[in-house]
Amino acid sequence: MMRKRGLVMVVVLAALAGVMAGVAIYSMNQNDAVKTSINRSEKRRARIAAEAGIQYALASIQTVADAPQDPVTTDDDWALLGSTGGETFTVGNESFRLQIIDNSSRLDLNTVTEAQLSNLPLTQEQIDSFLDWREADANPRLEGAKDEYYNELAKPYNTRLGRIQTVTEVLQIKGWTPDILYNLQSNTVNTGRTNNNEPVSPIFDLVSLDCFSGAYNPEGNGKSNINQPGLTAQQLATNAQIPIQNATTIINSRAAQPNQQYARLSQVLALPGIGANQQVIRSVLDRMTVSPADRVEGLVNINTATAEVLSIIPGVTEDIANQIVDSRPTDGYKQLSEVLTASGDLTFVGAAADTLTVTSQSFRVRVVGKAGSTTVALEAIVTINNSIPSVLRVEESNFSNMPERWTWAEEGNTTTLLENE
Amino acid sequence: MRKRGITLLEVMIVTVCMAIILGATVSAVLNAIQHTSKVKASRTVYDRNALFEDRLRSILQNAYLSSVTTDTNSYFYGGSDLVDSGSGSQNGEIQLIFTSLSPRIPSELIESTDDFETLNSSFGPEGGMTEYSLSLTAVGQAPVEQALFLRHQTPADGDPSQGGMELVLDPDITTISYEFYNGADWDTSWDTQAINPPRLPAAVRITYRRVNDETDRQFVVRLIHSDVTADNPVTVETGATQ
Repeated sequence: MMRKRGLVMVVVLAALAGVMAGVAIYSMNQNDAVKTSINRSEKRRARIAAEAGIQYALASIQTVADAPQDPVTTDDDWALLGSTGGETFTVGNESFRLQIIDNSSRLDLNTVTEAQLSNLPLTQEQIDSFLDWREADANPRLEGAKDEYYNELAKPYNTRLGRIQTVTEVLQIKGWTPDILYNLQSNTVNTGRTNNNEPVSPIFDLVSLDCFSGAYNPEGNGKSNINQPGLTAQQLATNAQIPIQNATTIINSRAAQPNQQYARLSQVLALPGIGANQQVIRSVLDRMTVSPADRVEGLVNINTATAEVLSIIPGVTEDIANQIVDSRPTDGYKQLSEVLTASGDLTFVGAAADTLTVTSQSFRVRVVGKAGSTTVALEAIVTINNSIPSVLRVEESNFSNMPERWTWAEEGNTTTLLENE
Repeated sequence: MRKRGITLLEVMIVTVCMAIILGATVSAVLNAIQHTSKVKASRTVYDRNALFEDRLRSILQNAYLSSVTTDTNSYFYGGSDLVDSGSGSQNGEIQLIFTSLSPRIPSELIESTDDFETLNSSFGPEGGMTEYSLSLTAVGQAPVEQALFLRHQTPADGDPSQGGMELVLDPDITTISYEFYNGADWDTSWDTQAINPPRLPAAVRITYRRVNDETDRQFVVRLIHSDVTADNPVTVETGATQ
């Protein structure tokens, strides 16, 4: 009898266990299904949130597009937007954090010169190969490479022979490895580096593409293009506010230049009577250009660049670079000629005329979108075209720790709720 | 009391109760198992579709045209009438061929300290731009006749008809078609050679069917690098619409 009662108990327990097992199997499966679908949806929502962040940044960059002649500085509204990633913008259930930096605070890979590359921690092989990759000429440099080399690789391909499209494209160039691009190079001999300062940033953080800036004079009008056919000395003297004899020298010496064109403003500064006159030097820096375009590619903005980037430019010594950064006015250098306070040395002035600016028409938007526990980091290049900022390129980052690599502030300092208007 | 045996009634009640409990348990467990297998089957279909759509989306959303408008190494062709555009399509089959920003660089490559040529032989060229083509017939030799094939080549070399690696993106897709949003309408074809300057469609709508399944499945991918909007459409005059 006792055994029989025990049996009932056992049966009941077994039944209960069975029910529980069934429920457990079922719920486990459901749980998996839900998790998979949540993961997938979170990833898409995080990406959409990041894209929303880029659109939000565009609205801020519009202020630069509205006043293209104004200096672009790190104290501008666009630069402060998002508090270096410390501010979280929430849209519904998703959120994003962002930071906008001036793209012209870096060296443009499509305009960077051999002399500038020599100041980066690169070997001659890497420099030669880089220049060969970009140039249409079919003959390789001494340590460079063209199709003959790339076609013989284990996984062959052709040389670009044209504009570089993305920064990661340099990984296709002979001698260029991810280690060179992403890591600090401390043991590479800088053959051409005139400055003694040790590199503190990986090359990836010093270079960019599509670094455009505006060519405007102090009055906000277009600079005088000294290569413009038919430009008379009288017109140049009036537009650039220089004495007529200097204008005549500039116009008359044009024919003596290679291709009968000035390739660089430093060629003007080297003309007799120009480099000796401070007023004329100022005019060359602030009022002249060698291109008909209203935006120029590859100039470095002295209002936003670090001393490290500035000192890569030959002619800008470490001392001058530090001087430029340290004595930046709070509202920025308004005209390029203000760098003359850092140094009046003609080598430097020539470098300034050829490679420096105080404005920018190109920005990098760094954004991290978040949905649930999933984050997506994107970096977009935004350029201003016809007074409208537009997204040129959006790249997903190659690293999972981008906020850290971008040295962002801690998350969640402030939260801003974005609502429909 | 202790000596009293159990009555027949008590035995019957206990038996009935046990039968009910056992029956309920067995049916619950059977139900759960059955339901689970059904859910699993439907989830497999869902996962397969989701996986396919996600993979295609991640490639297509990064479609990119060179900033040099005359660059023949970048393009976006889609639709059935690509024979004339030299894209290598045979028998008017519906295809999609485009250039895109290269996918993320694998972390093993980023962390590697090998030299350039070693990296080239172990990983192949990475970065820059990649050329993709989607087709229901393989460009090269394939172990299966029918599948959705994805061909990818890094760097894009300006020859949209061949080169690179080919893989089966999805083994049992039987039909696939694409429509391209030009800012006003959905076009059935797109050819950047016919648009000056070349522009990408704002979005691509993809419709596909699987083996033994008559359901048309559809999803839309927005192209982030397209400057085409409702306010700035690709017009008939530029030759984009057929």
